[in-house]
Amino acid sequence: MAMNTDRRRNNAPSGGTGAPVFARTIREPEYLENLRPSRSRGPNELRRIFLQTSIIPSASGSAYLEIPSSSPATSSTLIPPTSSLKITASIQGPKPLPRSAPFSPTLLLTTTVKFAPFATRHRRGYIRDSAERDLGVHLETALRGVIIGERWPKSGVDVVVTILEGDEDGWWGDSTSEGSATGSGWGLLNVLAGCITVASAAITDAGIDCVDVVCGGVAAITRNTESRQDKELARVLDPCPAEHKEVVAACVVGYLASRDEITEIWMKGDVGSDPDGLVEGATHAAVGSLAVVKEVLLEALQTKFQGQLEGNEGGLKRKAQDVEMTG
Amino acid sequence: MALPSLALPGQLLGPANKYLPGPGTHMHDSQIYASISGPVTTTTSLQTNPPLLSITNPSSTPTLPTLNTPVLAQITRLTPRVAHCIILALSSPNTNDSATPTPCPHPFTAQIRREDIRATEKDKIRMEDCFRVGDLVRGVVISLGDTGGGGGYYVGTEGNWLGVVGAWWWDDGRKVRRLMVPVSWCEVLDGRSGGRERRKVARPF
Repeated sequence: MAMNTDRRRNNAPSGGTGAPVFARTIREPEYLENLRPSRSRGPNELRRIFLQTSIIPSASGSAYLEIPSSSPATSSTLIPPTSSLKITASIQGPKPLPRSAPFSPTLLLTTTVKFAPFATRHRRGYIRDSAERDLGVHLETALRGVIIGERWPKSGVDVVVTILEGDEDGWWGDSTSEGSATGSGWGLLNVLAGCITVASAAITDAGIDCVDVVCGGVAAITRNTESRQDKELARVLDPCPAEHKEVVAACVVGYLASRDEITEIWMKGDVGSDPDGLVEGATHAAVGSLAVVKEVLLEALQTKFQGQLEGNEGGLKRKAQDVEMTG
Repeated sequence: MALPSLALPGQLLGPANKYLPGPGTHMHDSQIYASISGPVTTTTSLQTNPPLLSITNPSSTPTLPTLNTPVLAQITRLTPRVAHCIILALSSPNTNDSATPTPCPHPFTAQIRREDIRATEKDKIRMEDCFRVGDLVRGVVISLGDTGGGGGYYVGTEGNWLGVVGAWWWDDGRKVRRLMVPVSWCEVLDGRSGGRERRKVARPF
């Protein structure tokens, strides 16, 4: 890390920002356990998804995805019970290749995944670290399987994904008691699924040829320690790691629903005897998010198409609403 | 099966024996699927052929130069063998000079080789009699080129409607510039000073 420090900017302390500890949590140890969020939705129920395309005018395609926190905020503490997921993606190109690049008969895909410095409880640096580069490679494999590269010879496309808020690896109350800021990495799987979904929506918005709309989905096997005597394992879709005390295994897929194909798979943990069930659960989660993506894309298409029919009137109206930036 | 009015990538449009796949679609298992999102259009050119299924690209998508694309390019560097230029605007392929070109968001590097400037007397072409740095040239992409971004596309100006469309006369010690008017297929004239320069001129109308 010391080698990677950014010397061009004023960096925040590398220790990160710890969650504030209130006196009550020390006085009454059981109070902290009261704050622990629990999964209120069914095992096959996804969190709500907000998606919007064409948010960055200068990019040829862009999208914003938000999965808000599902647990209701309590009035007794200021700290939100679970994190939410907020990701933007922008597509640059197709544009000419850089001068040094050799000839390529197909589209050259470049993916950049970056956590915003404030995206996680542990502050991220400005330079991409290994986890971000890893996510970028996973995202590239997921997208490479859907893009028809032969339609765009001798050109490149940059997919830039910025994570404004990432899913946590566990509940904040656990991480402070263990004293470790970086966790097991369960949150990364949710982040990757979100990256795949939002990048796919942005690519469709950019009008780059794809065989299908790829969507990400996560399924996990969790252990229920409290409610039952025999530590029962349960499969849940779209897990929020903060809501589960122990995640045993998790799997993220990039899934093409209309072709029933998987372009990307990442499995983690002790899967046990039924890895196929976990993958199948992840594809179910992907189909769930695909419903949202399709709805949003169709809606965007309809508004774009109506604007074309109305002609110049719509364009003039929008111009009049633009605010002139001064100063 | 009725065609949908709007399609998303991966949406089934119809069997390949009833339609022909056009731009914005792809084939999979002898079925035609959409590959971009947009309104679905069918065009029938000949009665014998099945109708062509295509999806119109949204205007925001940048297009790339392909073979036979008329382009507007600006000369950036001259050598005796080749004129380097950047492509600034594109028309749709296989159209003639009446089509309005659309500007491209990123300039594409290109080159005009000396033997591609005109169709006749290719061995007598002198580069300095055809182009100057800064000239605006209408040309046609004749090859994508075999290099990446460095070499760029190959543009040709063989044809009466292709060549220099904008040449400027520098006056007052290269402080002001005036657009010159063509007086013949190989000469342009500055209206005020009467200065003449040699160019490979595009047919003005």
